[in-house]
Amino acid sequence: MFKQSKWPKTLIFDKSTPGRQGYQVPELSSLEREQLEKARNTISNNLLRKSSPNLPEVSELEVVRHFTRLSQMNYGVDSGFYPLGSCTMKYNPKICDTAASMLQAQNIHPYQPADTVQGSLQVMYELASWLAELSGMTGLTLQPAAGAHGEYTGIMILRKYHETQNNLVIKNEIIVPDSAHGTNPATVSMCGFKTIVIPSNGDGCVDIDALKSSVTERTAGMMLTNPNTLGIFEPNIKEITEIIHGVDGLMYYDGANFNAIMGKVRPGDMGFDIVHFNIHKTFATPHGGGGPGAGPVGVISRLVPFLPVPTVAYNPADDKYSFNYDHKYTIGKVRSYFGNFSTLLRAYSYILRLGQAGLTRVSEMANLNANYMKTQCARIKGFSVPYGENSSCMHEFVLSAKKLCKETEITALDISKYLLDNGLHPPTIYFPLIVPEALMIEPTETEPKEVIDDFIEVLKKISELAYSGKTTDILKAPVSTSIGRIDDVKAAREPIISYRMLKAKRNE
Amino acid sequence: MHSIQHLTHPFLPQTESQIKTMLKTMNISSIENLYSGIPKELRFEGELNLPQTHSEQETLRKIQLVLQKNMTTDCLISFLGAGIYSHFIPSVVPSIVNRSEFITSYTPYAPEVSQGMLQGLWEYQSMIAELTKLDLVNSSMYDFATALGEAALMATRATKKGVLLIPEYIQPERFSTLVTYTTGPDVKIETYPCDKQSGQVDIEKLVNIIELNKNQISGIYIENPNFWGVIEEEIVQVGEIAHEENSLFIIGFDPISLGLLKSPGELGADIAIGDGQSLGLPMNFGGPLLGLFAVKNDRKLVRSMPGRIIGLTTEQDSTERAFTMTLQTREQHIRREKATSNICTNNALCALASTVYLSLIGPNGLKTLAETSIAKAHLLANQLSGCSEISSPHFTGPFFKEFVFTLNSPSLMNEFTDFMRMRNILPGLSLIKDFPSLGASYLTSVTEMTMSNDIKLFLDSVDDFFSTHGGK
Repeated sequence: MFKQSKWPKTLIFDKSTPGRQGYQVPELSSLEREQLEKARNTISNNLLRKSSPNLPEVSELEVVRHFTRLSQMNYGVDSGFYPLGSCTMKYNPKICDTAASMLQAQNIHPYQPADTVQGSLQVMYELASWLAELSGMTGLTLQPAAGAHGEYTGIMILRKYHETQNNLVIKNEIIVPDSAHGTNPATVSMCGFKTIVIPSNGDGCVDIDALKSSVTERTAGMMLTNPNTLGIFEPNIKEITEIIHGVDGLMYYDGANFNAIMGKVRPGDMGFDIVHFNIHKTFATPHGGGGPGAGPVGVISRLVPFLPVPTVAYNPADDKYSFNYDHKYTIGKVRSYFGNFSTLLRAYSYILRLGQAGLTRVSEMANLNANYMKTQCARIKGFSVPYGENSSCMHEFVLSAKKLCKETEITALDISKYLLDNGLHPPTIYFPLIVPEALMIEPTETEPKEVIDDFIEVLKKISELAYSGKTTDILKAPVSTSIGRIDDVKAAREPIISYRMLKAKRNE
Repeated sequence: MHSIQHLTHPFLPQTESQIKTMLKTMNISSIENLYSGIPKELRFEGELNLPQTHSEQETLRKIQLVLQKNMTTDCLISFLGAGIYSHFIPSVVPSIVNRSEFITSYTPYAPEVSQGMLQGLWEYQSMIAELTKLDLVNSSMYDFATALGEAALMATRATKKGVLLIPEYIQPERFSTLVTYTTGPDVKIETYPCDKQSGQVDIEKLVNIIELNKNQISGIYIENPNFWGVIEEEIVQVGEIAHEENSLFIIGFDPISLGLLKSPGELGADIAIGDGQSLGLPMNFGGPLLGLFAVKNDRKLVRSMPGRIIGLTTEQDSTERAFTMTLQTREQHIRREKATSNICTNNALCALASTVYLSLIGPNGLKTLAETSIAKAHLLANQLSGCSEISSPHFTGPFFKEFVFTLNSPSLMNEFTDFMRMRNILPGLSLIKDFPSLGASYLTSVTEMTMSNDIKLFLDSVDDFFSTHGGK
């Protein structure tokens, strides 16, 4: 039986003992000490800090033990099944961590001369060309720090494109389907456009009539995930791209679901103009409890001049790599330096490790696992797959517990908590919004059939318990985790988001 | 069109017979059938021009061969800084953040199994709050540059005004990113200059620029220490001016400097931003970094903050302490086009690394690190000033761990750089391209990693250079 570690949640601040230290700074020489006094005297007293910051004073072992215990109250892919839909929580190969921990990768300053960073530049150059090949794009930037940052970069490229066409005054709308991730409309706003939401049709796909009636000369472009958030490939994608291109709009490909299609179909061939990748999803880099990720963006040839600078160039004549700042209409920079290099190096290692045949097989196995799960889950009493029940899905599917909820009052939330008690991370719940009591399930290619079968068995058990009225264990779940259900309302009503605020509250 | 032959690979567990069983369960004859939803004319038929599958051993060998072309800062005498700094990273930091329960977890959407990461991130927010003396901290942005971009947008949201004043002497990458971030929402950027001698804000000129933009200023941004490494002695006044204009006062800070210098909170900041790379993260050729974002405790400001925030609460049925993501109604997955930002994936693991780092060094360690940096930087600046061909430091204002030095003969700059490069010395960031008015100048950075011998070798090389080039 699963039982997560449970340690007292003592704050590291409350473990502090004045005088302790977990790290030793090398001593200054006498000359340096002398210099310190002089240096300090150059700064007027009212600009010097009067008291040291209230950081904890703990020994090295206390630090190690504190954070080791915290790690034991955390669940990762290495702990167990993590079928969080749209997040592609596949196994993160250890070799990629080994590569990223090499000193030749880590101890490099971004402003070193080009002749001292040829290795890093080669990694970036080759990775960019591989990602371009996978997506059918011509040029690529590795600068964006995450998927949403890639979206931002892509839509800024779109914006600059219309600006150079002198069209920006008219073109101020971007079309987004109602099933899209929240990042899409949020990105549209950050880039100064208006979001036009179009409804999905009965199959969960883009409603062509609704699209046609929304497209006008104001349409600057459209953001689309394909396969979409329901795990369904948009069958009318060619028509969609033609409609958008018909008004000189650009098609933006949200790469959240790229794991489904590697080697099978490419966004460039579908008619997309701009593509972002979620490196931490498709290319297996660890998500680190929230990041860092990386969100490279590929573009078709006529948009290459708009890419952020610099990109990396290679000169075969002298076998040298260099930065290329020559992009005529560049949108500028979207962050400092060149990208999340250590994340990109992991992706580079991952692609080498799988190779072209392996990556194609990755997508096939991801889709096989998802379809197998879908078939089995849809047969369980109380559950259904409202979109695409009788056709194949791609790498994920959305299960609805609407019937179960109506007949037994067991909700998707309850299901997710009971899964936790069985040592399984729950799927994404209540998304996309168009599916009631949604459970968005993405098993990924790295999970063995046995693990998938276990998950299905737990869902069956939930159904049996619910329909036989034995719902106590489900309703009080989770009990095997380091904490039970959490009071989110209190957290938002009286926010305590730092120790300073907690101290103030204690003193009240 | 057919699926590829069965491939045995350590990352792909399904055996051939399992695949058959699974297909049978679905009443499907082959994997290829799963792709029947894709229109045939769109299918990719060729072979991708990608590397062949490499074994683990071959992959590592290839990566070693490629990365061997790099020269690390361990083999160089590097005085490069300008936003990214070489600091010692205690072994505990990677040992903790590479624990697989942390590194292989997703954003803590299921808080009951993610208390470890949530508490770690809450402690991160708390430590940055202690450093800055500002209560509200988000659980990270991508880097300093994007934190500045987000701060600019937040200032406009909070004040409903559209002009941000910034120093014309900020890090060029930061400036370029800010320009990109403010393009869409149409926030105007106006710059104010520094005094040519002191390298500090020219208050008189700042006031003139404010007059020209009366009632439109969303915020005034200043860095302390600034891009020249100089401490802004009139920073409190700048904050007062900002508040008289009903604008937000935004301070960019170096976290290590806060072991010695007054915190942004004490200086009057409404928002403080910076980079946490100094706090236990490798330089990694510029990423990932750690965008610090702290805000004054004000009900109105908290609602316009970008980024994820972790809150402390309790279990529903008890008083037991619990952590959870909170104030999410600001965020994209709920507010969609009305969200304060589109950020979701941030740099959580980097935030955790900095939490481990700050726990180790504690208040005294931070103070000692700051003292070490300033002492060594001043030592180098003084000793360089002994060379008659060099002006060091270029500016008269007090400085922390970075300073600008200038060759008196501008024509020697390329030769000087090359000469030093031949001896594996990187004297600092050349400023000639971005700030030509400073002449042949370098921005030089010193940390605890700078050894006395590094300084000696640099100074000897400076002497050697000028004994053969002009002067002396």
